[in-house]
Amino acid sequence: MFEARRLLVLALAGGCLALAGGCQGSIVEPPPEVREEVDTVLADALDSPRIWRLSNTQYARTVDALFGSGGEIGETFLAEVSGHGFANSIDQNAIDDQRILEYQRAAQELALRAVEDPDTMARVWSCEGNFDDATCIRRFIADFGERAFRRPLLSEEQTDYEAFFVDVLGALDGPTAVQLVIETMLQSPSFQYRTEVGRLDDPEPVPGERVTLTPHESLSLLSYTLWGVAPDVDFGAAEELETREGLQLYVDRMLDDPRLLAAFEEFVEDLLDYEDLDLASPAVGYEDDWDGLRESMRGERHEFLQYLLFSGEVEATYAQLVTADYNFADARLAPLYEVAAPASGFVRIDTGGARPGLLGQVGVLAAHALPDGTSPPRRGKLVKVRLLCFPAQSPPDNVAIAEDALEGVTTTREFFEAVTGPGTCGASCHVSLNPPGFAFEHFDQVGRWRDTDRGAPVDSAVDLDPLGLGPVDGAAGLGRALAASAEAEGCFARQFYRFAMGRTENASDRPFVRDLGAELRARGGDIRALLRDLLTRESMHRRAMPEL
Amino acid sequence: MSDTRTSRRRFLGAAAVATAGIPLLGRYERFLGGSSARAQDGSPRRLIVFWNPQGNCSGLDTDYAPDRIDPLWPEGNGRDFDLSFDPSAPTPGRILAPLQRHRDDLLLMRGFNLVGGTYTREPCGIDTPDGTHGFGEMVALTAACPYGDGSFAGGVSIDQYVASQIGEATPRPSMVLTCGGTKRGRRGVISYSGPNMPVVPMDPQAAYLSAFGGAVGADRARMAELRSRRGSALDLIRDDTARIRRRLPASERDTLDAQLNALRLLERDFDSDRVCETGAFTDPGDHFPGHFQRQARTVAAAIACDVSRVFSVMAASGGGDTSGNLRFFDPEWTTNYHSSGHASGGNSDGGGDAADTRRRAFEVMVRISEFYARWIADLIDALKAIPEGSGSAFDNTLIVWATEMAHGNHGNHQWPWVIAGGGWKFTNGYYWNQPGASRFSTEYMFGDLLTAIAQAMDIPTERFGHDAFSNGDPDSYSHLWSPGV
Repeated sequence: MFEARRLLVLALAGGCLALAGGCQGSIVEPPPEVREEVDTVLADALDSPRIWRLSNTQYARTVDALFGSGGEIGETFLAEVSGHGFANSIDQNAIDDQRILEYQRAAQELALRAVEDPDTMARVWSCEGNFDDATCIRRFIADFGERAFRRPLLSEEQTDYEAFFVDVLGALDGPTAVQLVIETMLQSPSFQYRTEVGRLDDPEPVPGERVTLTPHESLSLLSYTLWGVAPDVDFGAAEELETREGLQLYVDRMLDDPRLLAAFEEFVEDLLDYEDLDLASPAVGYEDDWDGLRESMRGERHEFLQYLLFSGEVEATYAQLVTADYNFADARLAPLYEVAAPASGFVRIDTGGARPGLLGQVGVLAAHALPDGTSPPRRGKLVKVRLLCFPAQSPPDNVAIAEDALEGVTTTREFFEAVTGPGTCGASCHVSLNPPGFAFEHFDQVGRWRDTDRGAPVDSAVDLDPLGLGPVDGAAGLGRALAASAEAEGCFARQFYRFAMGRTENASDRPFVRDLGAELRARGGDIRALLRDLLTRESMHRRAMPEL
Repeated sequence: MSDTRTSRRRFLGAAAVATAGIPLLGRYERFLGGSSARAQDGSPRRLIVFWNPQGNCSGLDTDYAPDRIDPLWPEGNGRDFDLSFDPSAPTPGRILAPLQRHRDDLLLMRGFNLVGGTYTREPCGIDTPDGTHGFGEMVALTAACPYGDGSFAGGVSIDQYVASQIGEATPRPSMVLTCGGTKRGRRGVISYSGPNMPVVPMDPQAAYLSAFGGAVGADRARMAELRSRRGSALDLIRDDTARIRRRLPASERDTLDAQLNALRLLERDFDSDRVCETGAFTDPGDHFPGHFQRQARTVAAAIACDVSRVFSVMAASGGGDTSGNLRFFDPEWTTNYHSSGHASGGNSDGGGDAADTRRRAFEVMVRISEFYARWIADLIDALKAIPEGSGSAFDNTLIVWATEMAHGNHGNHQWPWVIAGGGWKFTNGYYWNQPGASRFSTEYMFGDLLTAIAQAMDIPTERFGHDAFSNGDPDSYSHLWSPGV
């Protein structure tokens, strides 16, 4: 028998408990979309000119690329608050007092480290101690500036920085001049932000003007989206991007590069809300090595995506993500999958079709469960909101449960049907939230297979009509239904678009996003085709000044 | 000029503190001037808010308490109370016992309720995604209903309100700190600079480096040169900002304007020409109490060097956090902070519900709250060791101890608030033992306390926050504070 009080914790956790007619309380409206609609943006330009602050992860990778190390300083930054389901929200652009102090501290520390460490110094200053040589100064500022700002310096900037260098050289010494140039550049918006504004020395754009991204801005757009990092040092490539053919060739090269994995994995981390693994209490019985277990769960995801994208053994498609009949296990995960533990690392395991790709991995199943039991509304919410793009709704408060409602209840499914199923106050909302969660009921709170729940046989057959997926049997059936669904594939394209743009789509670009989904479908769900399609469309590289 | 002399005296005081064994680090360029709350002798006034999640065992069913004795509230009333505690003959009030040595500097308040927590939609008519936890985080320091969908608070928090008024006087308008680490997401924020504008707190290392890091290990002449050059480098940054800004539509320019505004903060550092000498850095270790020690050291050093006068210190976030490895309090205990709070009230959300589990959870929760009381007692000691005017820095400091809820099983009756210091406004050495009729009682409202805190910092404020959280009736509290001061 379930405790009524415990119920509230379970029900509220699911994220939705709307009330039908005759029930007490009120339904909370879904929150308004985060970003106001940009009504001036037309089909040939995807946004207005904008800037986009590097996420903490991007900052870290960018620093690593600049100095060869030091990126871990980004881990000490203020946490990010997600607005559109991903960590890289453009709504967190502002640099306030706290953030500017943090950037100052990081810049000073990195610059000091750069000049104190001979290897790093050699990387940025190539003239071996010859600090008053004008050519050396010019080259250092041009080279480091280009890599830090991800574009060549304007002649005005070059001149100003050279003068600054000479001033510091006179008052202090050469290494300090290098140090102060570095720390100043790292505190400049051209380092802290990605810009999508066109040429900085062009006149101020007039209302309605179309602004084409510079090749360097396009290069950053591609690089941060596909690799999660600043572009390569080889800026020569920027020229190639000026033609559509050159752009396509370059994107194809990037899609084949192993660096694709890091950015795609970052996307998947947020898409499937792996963060919930970190917020939840350790699963009961797994407290002692919970950190290790979580590491292995993410490790499995890494192996899976690596195999999917780069093994060449399977088609890298959306369908594979939600239907693949294989997973990966290391010594920690092997007991959960009931397979023999490998001597080291991960091995590929055949799941016999019972576990649908990523959705059948213990990490996803554990992230959306409670410490001591499953939570069908949580798993259902993952499917409904993250994979099918239905809006999220908040649960009401003050839910009263009639004590006799729980009579005869044994399994988790029966419990949720009794308190939120048909005929209850929660029915209108949970009708599309519970069933996709019930489909996973064969997996316990850490994702282990079970035939029974609290002594009674598990029933994982559900009707997903309210989600447009029809009747399915269990998680594998759900995975197949997702793979067959144009809406699910369209949602996947939409989610990647949000990730790539840092915001939720609005009325202006909704047709673009729909088209992206249709194109993905036409290409058999090919993930690389989606990324190529998105990043080579001209409107992706063009912005429009709003009309007055 | 008199400011300068005051600061030099404080500088000597800081050195004295360092030799007295409180590690103060690095050097800090001081900034002087600005209008701010000041005592009659000219010393600056300061506000420190400490907030912890999961309550402090107030109003818990004592069935599982050791000896069935109230662990938080002592006996007595008004001027008549005693915080000493003898384990061999236990009496109520064990949690507050570490504060006994500062008894005469305290105001203990039992009369407020967290009205509007989970299970009651009034007065805000909104559900917070994390129930009482989210609600207590958002409301405690803002007295404002949650914003929009309930993810963030709907108003400015008392610390940021005070900082907006007196923060100009110091290099850091405020320092917003956490001992429990931060995470992406809505949890873990108690300070707000306005509606839906969370100020994410800094962990101990980030906070320390932010306040003192840039000036460590350089000689004085070199520091002066560096400061001057860094000041001129700000122009290079401004030029870059201006070039990008003009290419943006008006709506996007705000972002860079915020940055230009924040740059002024750096400029204040570079304009200063004084150095606050302090001692060497010793790391207390990376564990639960270690984080608290580091934040206490940062606060004390920042006060000694007048880096900031407004502090908010968060112990950890409330709902389902991972920072709650509580083995420090019971080596065998593996349940996290959140679940322990529930279990201490007999509501097992994860563990078993056997009586001995509840008893142990209860004991762990009492130990954590005792730890907080000890931390505050130590912080008071540190402030009393910093000479200022004819007394100490503590004489000009108001410490507020707030919590997320009354007890960790989502209790909202007898929500505990403790004031230490602030004697120029608050009645010290006083126990307001007023449990209130029920958890729904609105006879006394915590918004009135926040109003009094603002007034204590010399900020004319009639009513702080949402009317639903205050009665605006100062007469009800005339024994606790004097309105209009």
